[in-house]
Amino acid sequence: MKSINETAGSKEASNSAMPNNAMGEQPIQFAGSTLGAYRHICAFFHTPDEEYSVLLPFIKEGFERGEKGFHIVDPRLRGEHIRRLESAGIDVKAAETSGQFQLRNWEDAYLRDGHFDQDKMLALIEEVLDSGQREGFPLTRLVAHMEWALEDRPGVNDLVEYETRLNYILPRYKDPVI
Amino acid sequence: MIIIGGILQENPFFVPPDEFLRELRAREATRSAASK
Repeated sequence: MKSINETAGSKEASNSAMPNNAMGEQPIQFAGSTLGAYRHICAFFHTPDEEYSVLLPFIKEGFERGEKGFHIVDPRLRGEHIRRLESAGIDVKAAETSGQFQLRNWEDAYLRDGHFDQDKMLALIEEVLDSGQREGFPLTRLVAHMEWALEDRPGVNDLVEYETRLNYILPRYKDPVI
Repeated sequence: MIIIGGILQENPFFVPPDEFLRELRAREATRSAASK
């Protein structure tokens, strides 16, 4: 398996089985590289500052291109998330009003009805990505915080299976899912 | 793909979904049999 640094003379990630120009879209910059065809990304961060230093340029690039943003956050950190987006110059209120941005709490996504249901969550991901296309957005950049998986939540043991099953669904879409 | 230390790279532990789910089912079956 090649590392991204093995791509000679380029910072393009080696997962680019389908080059960006062949997909008829602008390259997507993320974490110092250009995303290729595989866009399901699991990200680990040591601190919120490290996290947002990586995520904000990626998120902002999407908004500037008229793409949709769909974020899922810990409800306790919802205000902080909005503050971070605004600090990057993103007009969160306007983006929400126009439909370009949706922000959901864990309880309205992963933990609906008080527990994690992998089938319902897979259906939600598909619905979000399909609706972005229906609404005319060129892409949806989905960013989901997963720290709930470290807590003792009902259904959390199904998370590994869920992430694996997501790998059947996401290759049908060009939308990045973080 | 995976990001660690702010760097995007291929997940070195990636297992194709078919294979991974087969392993998962096998582990569950073993656990379930052991608990009986």
